[in-house]
Amino acid sequence: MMTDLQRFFSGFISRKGIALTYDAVLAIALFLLVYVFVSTYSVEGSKNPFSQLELKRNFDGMINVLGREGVFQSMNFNDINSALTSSVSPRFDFKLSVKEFNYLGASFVLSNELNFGNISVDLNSVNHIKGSESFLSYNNSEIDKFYRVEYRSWFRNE
Amino acid sequence: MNRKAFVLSFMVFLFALIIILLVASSRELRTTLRDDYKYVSLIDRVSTNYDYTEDLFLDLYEKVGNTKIYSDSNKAVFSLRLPDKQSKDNYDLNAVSLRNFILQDTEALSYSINLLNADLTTLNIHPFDINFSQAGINNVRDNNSVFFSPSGIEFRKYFVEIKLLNQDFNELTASISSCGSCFFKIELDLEVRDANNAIVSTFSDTDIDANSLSSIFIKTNEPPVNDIEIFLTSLGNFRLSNNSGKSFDLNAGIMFPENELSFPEIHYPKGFLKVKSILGIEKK
Repeated sequence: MMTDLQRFFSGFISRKGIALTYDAVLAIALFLLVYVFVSTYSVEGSKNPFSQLELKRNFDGMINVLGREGVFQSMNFNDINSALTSSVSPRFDFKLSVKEFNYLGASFVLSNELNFGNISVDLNSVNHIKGSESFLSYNNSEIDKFYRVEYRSWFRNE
Repeated sequence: MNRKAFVLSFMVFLFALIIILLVASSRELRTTLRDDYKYVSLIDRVSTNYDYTEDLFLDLYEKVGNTKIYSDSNKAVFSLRLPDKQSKDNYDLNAVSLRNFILQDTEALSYSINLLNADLTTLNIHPFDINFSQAGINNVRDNNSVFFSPSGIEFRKYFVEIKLLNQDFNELTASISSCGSCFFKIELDLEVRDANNAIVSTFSDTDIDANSLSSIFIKTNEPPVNDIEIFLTSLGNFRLSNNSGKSFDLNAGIMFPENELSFPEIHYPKGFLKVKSILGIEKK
């Protein structure tokens, strides 16, 4: 037999249990909300725009070194391709062209062009950086030919 | 009970407000980062292009202008044949075509290459702001002279090596203004070699007044009026001229006190490459 006092406490405990349950559910919901928010924005944060700058510097430096070593001036597809493959970090993908010009009658005439990398990519579909550098080849202490290397590069996982 | 509900609602409201503020601040941060990135990447692009372009011209200076440039922790050296007018004329022409090629590239839009107002045969030793130039006396482009033109007194010595090619050494005479307790003292080392690279004469003085006229004449078997001359004039200005009509090989250098913070570097003078005003900056 339950006394009045026991019934009173039993009702109170069951009401308190429901309240606690609601409270726990609310806490879990709020926790999930915060968790999703933090996760989402931490991922956004990891897409640091300055990583593009790192990519640009990396590529500029590499192109400059290869140009100074005369790699592009050889206009040999295999040599250039091999040099690029061994120089570009696997984190990056790229599309690159080497154009050779002659200086004729005060104008520059394209005499040869080679393309390297992922040439079929739709550049609108990747967040890429671009750059270009000029190089020269010499013959008998005079400029022989002019070269322009133009590239686009992007992070492979984006 | 109503009071508890009110407190609970207020807590939930505060929590939502915090979430909203966090989102807003995060967005603002990302916008600021994007703006910073645009600015930094623009500066970086201009700076990189600037350096690479100057390197191309310096390479041209060496390969077509036929002048080797070298600098290390305490000296800058220029090696050339004097005179060598053909190389300098070729260099002028090639520099114009190189400038035209570079300016065709859209990446070069952020700066201009000033060939009209800059003497292409002048280089500058940074950070000491000392010009080295090749020219003819009285601005005649016969290229029989080299000059060092300092803007300060932060160097201590000139050193010169002359290798005679098609002429024989006769004698060396010097008229030096000694320094004693003068304000600006410099040193000079000179070495003359014959075509077989054997030393035929040397001169060394460690106490020269850089603000007075000093001169050295190297006489060869050419007519006496056609000496090789070295003049040191006010503020340590240096001129070496070859009037003999026959070329010789020259190493002309300038030496600085050892300083861990400022190594000499050879660049084109200010104004040769100029960043356009859209950025409101001008390098060097």
